[in-house]
Amino acid sequence: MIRLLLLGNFLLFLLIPTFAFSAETLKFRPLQSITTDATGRGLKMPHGVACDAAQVVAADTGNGRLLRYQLDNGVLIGGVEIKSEQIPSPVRVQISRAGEIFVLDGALHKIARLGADGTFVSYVEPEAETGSIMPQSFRLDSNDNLWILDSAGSRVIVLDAQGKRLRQIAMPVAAITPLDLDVAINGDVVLLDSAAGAIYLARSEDKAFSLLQQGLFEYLAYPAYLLADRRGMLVVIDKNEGGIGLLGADGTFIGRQLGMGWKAGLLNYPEQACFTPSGIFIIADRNNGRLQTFATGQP
Amino acid sequence: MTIQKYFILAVTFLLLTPLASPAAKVGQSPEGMRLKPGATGELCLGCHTAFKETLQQASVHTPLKKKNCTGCHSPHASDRKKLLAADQKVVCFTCHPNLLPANAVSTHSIASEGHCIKCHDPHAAPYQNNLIKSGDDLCAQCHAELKEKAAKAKFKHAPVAKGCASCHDPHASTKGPALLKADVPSLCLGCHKPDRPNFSKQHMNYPVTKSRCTDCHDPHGSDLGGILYNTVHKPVATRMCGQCHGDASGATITVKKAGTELCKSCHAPLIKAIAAKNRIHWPVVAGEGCLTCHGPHASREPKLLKAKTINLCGRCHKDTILRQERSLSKHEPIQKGECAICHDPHSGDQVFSFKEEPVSNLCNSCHDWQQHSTHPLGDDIKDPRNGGSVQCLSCHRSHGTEFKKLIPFAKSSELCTQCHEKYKR
Repeated sequence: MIRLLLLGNFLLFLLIPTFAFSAETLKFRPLQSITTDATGRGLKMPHGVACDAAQVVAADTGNGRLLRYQLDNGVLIGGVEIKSEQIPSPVRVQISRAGEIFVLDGALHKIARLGADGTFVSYVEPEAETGSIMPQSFRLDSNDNLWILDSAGSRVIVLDAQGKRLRQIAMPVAAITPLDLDVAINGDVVLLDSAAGAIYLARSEDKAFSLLQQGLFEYLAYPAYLLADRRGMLVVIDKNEGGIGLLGADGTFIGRQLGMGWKAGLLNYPEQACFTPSGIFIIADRNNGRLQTFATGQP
Repeated sequence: MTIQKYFILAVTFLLLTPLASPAAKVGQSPEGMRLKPGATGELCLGCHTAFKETLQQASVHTPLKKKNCTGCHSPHASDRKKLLAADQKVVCFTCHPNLLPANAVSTHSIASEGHCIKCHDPHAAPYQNNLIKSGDDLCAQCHAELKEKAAKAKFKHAPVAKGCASCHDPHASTKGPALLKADVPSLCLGCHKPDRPNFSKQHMNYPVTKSRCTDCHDPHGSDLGGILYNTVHKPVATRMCGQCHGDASGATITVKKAGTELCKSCHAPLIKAIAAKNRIHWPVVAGEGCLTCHGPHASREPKLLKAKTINLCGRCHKDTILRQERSLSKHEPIQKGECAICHDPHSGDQVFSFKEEPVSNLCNSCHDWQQHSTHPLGDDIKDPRNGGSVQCLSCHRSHGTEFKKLIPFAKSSELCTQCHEKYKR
């Protein structure tokens, strides 16, 4: 009898959802706030930022240019201008393994490919594409394949370096406003529906997205940017309330960090963000006209 | 039994208590209480003599008719007004549990929130089902604007004259939105027979029987023939369906081009101007293009918008609308639902698709204090917090805050000392 009661009590305790609090989390500690380029000219409405082990490339959207900073022991230095007529309004940036820079231009709705030295090479044109493509966001995966969130075609398309289509996944029927996507290290792709406060997932073998989390509005006002870190944790940028939501790989909400404001360490309509290999988190703090870096304590 | 066993039993009891606690039951059986005859109601009427008149009304609630006051009221004491045995929002559902079906597509908020007495008198009323007013007068208590509009409409829809209940169920519907007794078009096709020649002629022989009638027709009446909504797309008004649609003889209705490409046939200059700007609003370029926000045929809203601007924008920007609703001070354009006063809904060169840059100029179009006295603003005035320029949005959040004057701090001194730190106390 007593054993039965003990077993019953044990099962009742299992019902208490403590697992959500036990997940490993990230803690953001402000490091650096960058408001100017190498010449002292101020950043204006930066929308994008990408980073690798040695450099950070920012989309200084309001000034219609890119800026390249060097990473020196976790500190951003420099800020050399990369300007091209072919990218008048850069909004999203990615860096390939070879150091090439891929830029989504918000005005042209095209993805431009720049060499490692910053010179324009070409626009990314999918092979044998007849319909129009309207990239809303994009990512490079660990093999440098290009994942494009195509608003016009309501789909995600995957291209290799030559523009050959490798895969296509239709957007979920229930999705309202998918604004961003990211590709986890294992090839899973996550899609963020900002207007519905939902995240969808397609594993590497899936042909369609399935719902991962649909209650983001409980924690975030307007989730607009998504990052899957190397452990699979999801970092969601709350654009309208200047915060960062952390979710487990299964979509469980873990916590919210940072807040809306103007001073260093606070965010004002943040946009794109990236992690350096050493775990430094860099974010384009758009309406504060700056990049901010944060230590996360997680390499 | 050892102390350990008692402890385990106690823990078990504590864990199970929340699961086992029964909700208060209404109308608990009085058996075994040795009640006097008539104690459940007849006795009550001895003091509550006014109910003799109430009982004479045309429609008397069954518990009262059966002199069963304790069906709803507790005879001794209650935490609720009128000695109700359960919360007013719950008590009716103890006898009417199936009023709101679990599979309801739409429910009347009054019913789902338990405000039954807004329509029904719980004791007796002159009208059937204890309704406090007759038919449409009852609905007009809340929907007066709709009733007035229907009455004034030049072209009336016959079922409206027969009463709201012709098409709507007052409590809930398992078949359609807006409490409709059936979904559109099947509800409409109950009266409007598509095989009649006039029906085909009016619809230019297009197979519309699977289309949503209420996309074009105002079911409550209109000032336009065919009870079309008051804003009609020119090709519809001129019966030039072929401008957008393929041949009418097909089994389905087809469009000549998809999305914005179709609209471009006539609105090319506008679409070109939209595309020329730096930032295009997402719906313009998404799959449905213009049709994300505009109806292609007719609308009750200007510019063929599918809904009132604030509701339309609010579909994606819920948080912004909520921010305004919760805000202590209200920003007038948002309160009026006129998002397009400040934002270009199609595209813009600035963030937020602001119609002017810098944003202070936009604010200045209503707030003329910048003409005479203002905190220094503009590109030359640096905000020490972030190195940017000082603009109106450096201190205010245009969609509202928890505090007065749209500022994000409880006291203006907290705001000012953000920059003017030497005055901080």
